Amino acid sequence: MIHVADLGFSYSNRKPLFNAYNWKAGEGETWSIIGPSGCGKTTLLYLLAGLLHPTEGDIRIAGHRISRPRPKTGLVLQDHGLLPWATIGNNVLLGFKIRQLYGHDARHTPDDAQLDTQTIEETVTYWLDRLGLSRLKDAYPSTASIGQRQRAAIARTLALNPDLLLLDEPFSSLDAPTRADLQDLLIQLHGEASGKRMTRVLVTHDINEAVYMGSRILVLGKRVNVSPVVFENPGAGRESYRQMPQFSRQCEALLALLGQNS
Amino acid sequence: MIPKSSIISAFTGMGMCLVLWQGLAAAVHRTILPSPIQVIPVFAGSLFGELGCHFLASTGRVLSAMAIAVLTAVPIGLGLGQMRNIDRFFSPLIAIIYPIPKIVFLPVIYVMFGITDISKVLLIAIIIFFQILVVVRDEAAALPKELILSVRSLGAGRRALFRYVYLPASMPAVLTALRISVGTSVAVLFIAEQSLTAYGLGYYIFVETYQVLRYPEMYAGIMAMGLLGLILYAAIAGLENRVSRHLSRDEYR
Repeated sequence: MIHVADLGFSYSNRKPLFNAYNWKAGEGETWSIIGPSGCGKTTLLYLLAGLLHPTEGDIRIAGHRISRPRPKTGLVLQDHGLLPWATIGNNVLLGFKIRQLYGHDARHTPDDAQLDTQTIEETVTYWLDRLGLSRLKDAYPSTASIGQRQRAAIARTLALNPDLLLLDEPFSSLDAPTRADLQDLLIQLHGEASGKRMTRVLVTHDINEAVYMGSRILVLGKRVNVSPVVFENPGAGRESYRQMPQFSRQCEALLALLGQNS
Repeated sequence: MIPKSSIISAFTGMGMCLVLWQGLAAAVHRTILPSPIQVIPVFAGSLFGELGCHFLASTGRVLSAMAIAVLTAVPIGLGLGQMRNIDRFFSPLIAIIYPIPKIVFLPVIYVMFGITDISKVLLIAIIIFFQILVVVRDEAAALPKELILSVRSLGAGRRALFRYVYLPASMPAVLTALRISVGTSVAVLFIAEQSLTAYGLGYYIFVETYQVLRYPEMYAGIMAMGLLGLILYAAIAGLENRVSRHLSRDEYR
């Protein structure tokens, strides 16, 4: 699904974050990316999203080299990114509005996307309902709680039926119960038909979250990243995992690995 | 659209104005200050005649100026707000021109564009242009980076960003700038219309009535000009209310 080959990246006038970096992620896998701040984890996510461009090497997603945001990639950021002047319902509708604006032009809209109003309405209603936002359809984001806004951002992204979901510290501004709630929700969604083949990459600085959410964990370091450090975590993906003794052992092991890398 | 309380308050204000006027007229008791009882019938009588024509001419000029200003300042402001380098280059220029009272350019504009309506409209358009340009630029520059990235990740290119992000984001600020410019626009219109035209409230007040001592008619003209400002202000405030609904926090259901 994701194929990073000989990636080199540096922001202008700064030391490189990646050099000849190779990394692969298979279809349907759930990845966490963890590392200290400034290690380039958000940068890597933006590169995958097509919002930044590699200085060297290339990134292929589903076989295609990306140079611009890809319509089948979904992105959820820490600060939900909802339009403050649009209702929750219209925010969830936004992706479809954008697709309707461009039509099937092969750049902004996937070929298999349905753009008739009825299908769109049904999809939006489904996702609002699935994320428990039906009651807030006509409310503005400013009147919703932070957790609800983040749910709306997730609904907006998933409504477009992505095959790759990228999340950049999506839960770090939430309180603990809401965070746990949304983590569980993502895990449930991955088990559902609509999320079955979806590849998920979640960037976090929280060890517990990384272990709970990612069956494979990519560890980035403070120095230039040259070869990928992958932490295997096959237990993840079940809601019961948090209570298992294996979970806390994995957290400790990851902590130790992070210590070596920074 | 407009809250009932503000409509009531507007009428109360007008009533108080008339009472004050009546009181002053009675106290001064000279022909240069006729009472509203004298003026209102003149106003009502000529509104659908001579005065109405002048009113329409003035309204047309202000509205055209507003349209020109919005249509040029919004795209340029959005562009400057997004392209920091170009903005940095032009911002000293804008900072210098912005506070200059543009009315001083009236003769220059007459020389360049001739003694036509275009010159008068252009003068007012320039004033509003800078008001809008500055707020739209600042509004576009202040949009959170994450918001833009999120919307881009939904597939939005420049066109969709403009349509769904920059335009709605700057609308409230555009309307606020427009509303604040109404006073200046009408004032400049008044001065510009005093010469080199045969239509407009400025011409009516200054040439047709003031200079020939038709005081009741002059006051009718002043009322019409006041009304023009008031209507424009209220209409823009109404639109502003509509596009700023998300800013009121009592929408929760």
